[in-house]
Amino acid sequence: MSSHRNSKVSDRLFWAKGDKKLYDELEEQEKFFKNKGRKEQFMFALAVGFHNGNRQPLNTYDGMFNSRDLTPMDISIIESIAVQTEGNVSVIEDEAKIYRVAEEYAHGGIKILNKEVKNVQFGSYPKKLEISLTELISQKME
Amino acid sequence: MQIEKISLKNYRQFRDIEIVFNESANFKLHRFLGSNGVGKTTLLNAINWCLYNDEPHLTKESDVLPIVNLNTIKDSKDGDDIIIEVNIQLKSGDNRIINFVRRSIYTCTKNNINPMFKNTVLRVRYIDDEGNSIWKDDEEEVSQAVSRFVPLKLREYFFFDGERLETYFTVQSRDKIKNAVMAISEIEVLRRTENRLDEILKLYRRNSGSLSPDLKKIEEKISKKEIKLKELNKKLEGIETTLSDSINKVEEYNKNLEGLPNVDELNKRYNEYNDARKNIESDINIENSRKNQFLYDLSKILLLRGPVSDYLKIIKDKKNKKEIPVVNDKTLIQDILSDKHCNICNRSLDDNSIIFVQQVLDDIKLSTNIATKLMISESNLSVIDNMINNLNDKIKSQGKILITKHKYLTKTQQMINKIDNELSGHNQEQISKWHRERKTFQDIIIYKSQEKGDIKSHIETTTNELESMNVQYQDELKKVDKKQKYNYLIEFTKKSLNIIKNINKKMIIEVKKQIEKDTKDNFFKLIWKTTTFKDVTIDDDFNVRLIHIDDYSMLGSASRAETELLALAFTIALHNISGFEAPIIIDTPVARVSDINRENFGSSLVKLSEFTQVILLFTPDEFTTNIRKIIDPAAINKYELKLTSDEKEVILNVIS
Repeated sequence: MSSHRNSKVSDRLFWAKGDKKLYDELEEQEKFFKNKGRKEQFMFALAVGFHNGNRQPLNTYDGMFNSRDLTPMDISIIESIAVQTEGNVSVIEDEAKIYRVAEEYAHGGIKILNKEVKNVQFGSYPKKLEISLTELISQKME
Repeated sequence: MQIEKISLKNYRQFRDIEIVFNESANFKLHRFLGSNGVGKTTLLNAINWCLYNDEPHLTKESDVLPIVNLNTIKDSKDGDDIIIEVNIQLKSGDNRIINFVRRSIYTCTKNNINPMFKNTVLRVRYIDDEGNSIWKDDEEEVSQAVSRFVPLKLREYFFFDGERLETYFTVQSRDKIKNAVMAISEIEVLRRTENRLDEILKLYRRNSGSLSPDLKKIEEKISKKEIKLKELNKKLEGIETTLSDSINKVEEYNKNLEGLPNVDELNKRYNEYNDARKNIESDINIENSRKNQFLYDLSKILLLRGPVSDYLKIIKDKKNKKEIPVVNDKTLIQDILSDKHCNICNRSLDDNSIIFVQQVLDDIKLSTNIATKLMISESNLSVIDNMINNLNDKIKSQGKILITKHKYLTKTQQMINKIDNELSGHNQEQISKWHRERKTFQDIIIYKSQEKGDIKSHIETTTNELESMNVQYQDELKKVDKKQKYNYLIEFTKKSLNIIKNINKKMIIEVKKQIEKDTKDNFFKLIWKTTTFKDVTIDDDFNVRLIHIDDYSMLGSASRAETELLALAFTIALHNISGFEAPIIIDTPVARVSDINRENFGSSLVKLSEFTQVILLFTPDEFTTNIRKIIDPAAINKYELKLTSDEKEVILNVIS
């Protein structure tokens, strides 16, 4: 199904055409991402995209998963990203907007993630991730 | 009594040889060296042949050859008589000379292959210290003379094959040991007397039955009870034999299994470790999945902690400024202002009211919708914030769990590898079979021990019953035997029987005790290990047991050398008890012993020769440089046996 996101709230979250292939490859390449479900993969890509400041607008839209799949926690996270990105708390009233921001970061994030997974030895991504996260934790402690 | 000389004429490979055994003040040791088939065992057979007219150590190869020397046969004509003669010259402690001379005559036949036996005679010559000599050829006298040197029943404790020493204490040998002890105790006559007295006693009782029907009844009861007691005793004897055989069997299996892995036990443990490994691997997989899920969630949290923290900060600020929660509905006020009509109090707004409502609207920064969303997010994101604060602990505890499990897995794998190594290269089926068979005998021991207890208690009851019947019988006999004829006879026979029985028992016990003590003394005098063994015992079934310092029987696990030494110690004990001062002749004494034990055993033989004449017949294989170094300095005579080029005659070389 192909659609355009407009200002109206949709019951779907979208990925760009071609992203599906990236997500599928991710699952194939690394067991770590297997059986997570599209929503979870989206949230991960979103985190990576945001952390790397890689927000990329979607030029094409395909429905990725139903917004009902998002938990209250997911929504709060998505809101926090939108608030930081837009610099205005009132953005959270615009559901279509906050989803768009999230989709754009996830779109940027999946590309980074795909590259990262391909650059490490098969099965060793969790180890690499663990090291990066430990560094991040120690940075926080400092 | 020592062998001074052996002359052999036409006896197998020995065509005409004289072997001298010199005397020495220190060691009475003589050694022979000869390859297999040269004539060492033939020499042992020659001694047996001379004294007992048989050749117990004959090999299959020798058995098919004639007893007459082959060259003698070749040089003889048809019809010629050939004389075979073996002369053993002994010297007693009081300087008397005794010669045992067996002479057999064979007649050559036409084809000269196997001469025909004509006759054989053993004669004895006594020479006193003044040189007076006397020949005896009466069969009984000669036989007695042989028995006074080494009785037939005891000969295998004087002239034996070293290769059989280690099987000395097996089940099959126990009866031989028992017979030897019996022979030494010389109780056979007493046994016969005991049986005869028993028969007489029964006869008197039967005859006394004619005196009264009551007496007859009691006598019949006694007879039945006696039969029962005999059966019980026989059963007990059977149980004891089975028990002792099983104990020996267990020891045999212990010996077989010495140094071998317990295959069944190891396989059981292998399977247990393998199951444990599978469980740990499965646990590790579960833990890894948990860890990955944790990493997944952690990644989102950590990568987004910036916006999450900022968002939470914003919410907190708004809360501090009392912007949330919102007390007035912004939409409702906007509607009132645009309608200029208050929907709550249902009246129109005047100018002053419009200014006031506008001011209230300006004070409301957030919509109710936003405020609600912020409140929800605050509660959701606080969870994340807490999680970030406790991350280190959680990562550490998760790491610890996995490290522990991996360590356990490594250990388990190491155990599996160890078991694999222990099992590799072994015939598992055979070992397993031995273990099963040993278990069977161990079970028999348990079962038979219980049965033995039952039978013993049964015997006790029956004996008591028999005793009370005997009292009853005596009382009845006194009443009816007015002339005291049977009473006197029966009493007398019973007393005699008891005396004989007691003497019998005491003699065996005494001899057994003495042999036990002497065996122990000899063993500890000769053994090279000083802290391994505690005791040597001989039980009522004549099972010789070697007790470890930690109090368990260890004959089954003793080395060949130790077993041989124990056999030797036992043999010397028999010598001492029997009073037969005959030499010990051992064919291939250290052939079955290896390494350091061979040398230790060699040294023990040298020690033994300090008080007993020892004649050792070595093969070159067992007569190693180290053994030579031990034996030769002590040996008075050193001989080498060789064959002539046609391999039909022995040449005796004296080694200086």
